[in-house]
Amino acid sequence: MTKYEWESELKKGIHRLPADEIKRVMEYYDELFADMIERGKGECEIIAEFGNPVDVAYKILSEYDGELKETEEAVLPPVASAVHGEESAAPVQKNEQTESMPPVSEIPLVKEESPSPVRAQKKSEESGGLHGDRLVLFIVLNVLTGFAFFIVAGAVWIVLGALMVSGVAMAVGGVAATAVSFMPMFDGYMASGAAQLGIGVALSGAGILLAALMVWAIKVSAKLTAGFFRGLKNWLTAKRRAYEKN
Amino acid sequence: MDAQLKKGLLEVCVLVSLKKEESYGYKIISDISPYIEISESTLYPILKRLESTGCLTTRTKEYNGRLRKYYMITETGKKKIKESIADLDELKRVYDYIYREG
Repeated sequence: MTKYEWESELKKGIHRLPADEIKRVMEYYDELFADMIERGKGECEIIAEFGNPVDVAYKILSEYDGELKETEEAVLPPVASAVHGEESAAPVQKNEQTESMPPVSEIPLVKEESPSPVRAQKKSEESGGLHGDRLVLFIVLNVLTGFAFFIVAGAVWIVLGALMVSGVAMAVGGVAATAVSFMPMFDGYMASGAAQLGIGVALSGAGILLAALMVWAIKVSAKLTAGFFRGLKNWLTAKRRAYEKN
Repeated sequence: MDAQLKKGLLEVCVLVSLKKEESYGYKIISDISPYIEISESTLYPILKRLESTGCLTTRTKEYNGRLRKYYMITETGKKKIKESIADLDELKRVYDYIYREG
């Protein structure tokens, strides 16, 4: 195979790319050929080093598609909620090619957090790294404070639970008192009977209110607790965003 | 080497090869080949990406009657090198761990 044949094969392989991209690729390899020939390498040797033009073309195509996909994802999400977000999202059909992610220095291209489904899938691929330093910090803080947060949170839950039980008990007691309050009345002790009735009703009412209030309080606490643990998990496993990514 | 790990390292290596002075395709490959395996087809997308993220700029100069594309590092590129060096400490710890205990 000659240089001319190799380059023709390559050009054929990437013909679907935009003209300026094709030009860039061909110039890149032209330059490499020239530099290597200048250093005394033979065309065959050079071609052997470059490899099969079909493979090279394929590599270029997948990189290009991968980059394109990432650029779309980076651009679309912040705009997704804006007017033209929906329009630009629909008609784009590109070859799916997973972009491999730079590891060592984790180089994200200005990617914003986004709710879009494609991004969500990519995001779930991305999150999963545990920040050891943050976990250690969290544990140390807890040990130093005698797990104060957890103790307090636990205490709050216990108190809420106890109050709710009290509320129920009050209500039950109140109802019972109301029920038997009629007995002294039948016996002729109207005053005390009426008093007991009054107290019984009040007690039931207070008990029911307290129980209901506690149910609400427990629901709120449940939400807060869940939210706290979710936030903690995110903080511990957040993807590092120190750089620009491609 | 793991493909993803390599890709990240290659980007930094290319930038390092540009740190002192501008360079061109073949020279970049020659400069970093002793340290990490890199092929011509691998370098191309890396250069593209580094340019799109503002880590380097290009210009075309005449050389021996033909045109050659030169790559120059930018401030962003230099910053990226610094940040990667910070990562290297962590990488070295991990490397030592795996090497010793593995």
